[in-house]
Amino acid sequence: MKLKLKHIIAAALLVLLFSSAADAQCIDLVKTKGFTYLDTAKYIPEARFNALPLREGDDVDIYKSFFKGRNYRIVVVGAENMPKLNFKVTNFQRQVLYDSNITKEESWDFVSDKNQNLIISVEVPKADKDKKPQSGCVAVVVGFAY
Amino acid sequence: MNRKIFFLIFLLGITTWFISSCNSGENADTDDLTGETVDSSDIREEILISMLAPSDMAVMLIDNPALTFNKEIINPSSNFEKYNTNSKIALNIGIYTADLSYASLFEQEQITYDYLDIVKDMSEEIGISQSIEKRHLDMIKNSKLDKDDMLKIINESFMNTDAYLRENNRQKVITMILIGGWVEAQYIAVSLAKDSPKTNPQLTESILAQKISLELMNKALENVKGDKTLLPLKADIDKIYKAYLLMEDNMTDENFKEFCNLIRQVRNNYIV
Repeated sequence: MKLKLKHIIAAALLVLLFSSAADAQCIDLVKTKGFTYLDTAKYIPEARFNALPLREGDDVDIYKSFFKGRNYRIVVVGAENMPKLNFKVTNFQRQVLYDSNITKEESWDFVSDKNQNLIISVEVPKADKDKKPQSGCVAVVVGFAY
Repeated sequence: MNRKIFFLIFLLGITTWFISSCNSGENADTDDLTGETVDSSDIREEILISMLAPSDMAVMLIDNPALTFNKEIINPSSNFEKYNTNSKIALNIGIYTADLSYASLFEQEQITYDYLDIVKDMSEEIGISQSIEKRHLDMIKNSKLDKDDMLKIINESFMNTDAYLRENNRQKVITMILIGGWVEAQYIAVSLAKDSPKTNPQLTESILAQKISLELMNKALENVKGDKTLLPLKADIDKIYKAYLLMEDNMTDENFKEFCNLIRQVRNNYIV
């Protein structure tokens, strides 16, 4: 009984510890890898935090406003243990404006030709059938230039 | 043995309570944002609606060389002491963030610093401990920064707040901050436009462009039915959206003025 209880407490503490560590990883991912790909000397990072932990096979849609004449860079990065991520930018009619499967790039630079809400869809490729899916942070960093 | 087990469970309970207290801001008067839990049905899994942050709103709306800084427009710093509920504090964190972003765009270092300091205090009041770093305040105080550098600091600080709230499942607080910031940035813009679409056509265009960000806000507020904190704010957003539709149908001086009056009325209600 004593041993079981010890295990429960240890497990609870580990869950607490790992969840805080995962949280810290996401903001670190944005500020390190995300800002590097964004190139903060050229692009001012927007202020919203668009990062979350995902598993292989998961996907996330981010809805965001873009304004006419603005010069944007969209960067999509994942934690070191994650596979290369795919992302698409579409309008609300799901018309594809950008597909990283074609360009093989982590970022997309564009000038918005109108005021529009777009969807950034990020897909973490599925793990091989015989492997346990990895999980880690995925971040979308958007910046604008004057 | 049973007493030992009871003691360990009690200890675990106390620890959990202590951690949640640290996260939820015990200093402010309690309202339903304290220790907030969000029902899973309120959250759209795997969809993030990235409404504009107050600082990004300010850039999109009022970063315009034909405009000037007017201290009379912004929410006076002395007001911050009267915000004693968590919801008022959250709304006014957004409002002060829009104000300090406006100040930074016109390189008003002292006001940017003072308001950032207020936002830091208010954030701590509702349990957001990791928002504005001291080194950032020092940089604004001691270095001669241009507007881009100040904006980077403001945006990074806001991102810290956003990350902290997301990670602690306090979506309601961030939503209120974003609504406060959106309304204040619009209030600054309509004040600078002097209630007329002809004062500065570029500014008018920017004000009208924000209809799309309001559409995203509406989407984010779709699931707040029955939430007594967010429902009145949703009603404000609905009214503003209708005013946008009216201008879209028929862009007259009168409709623009009505829009400006509505923004002023909503904003003044938030800062009292």
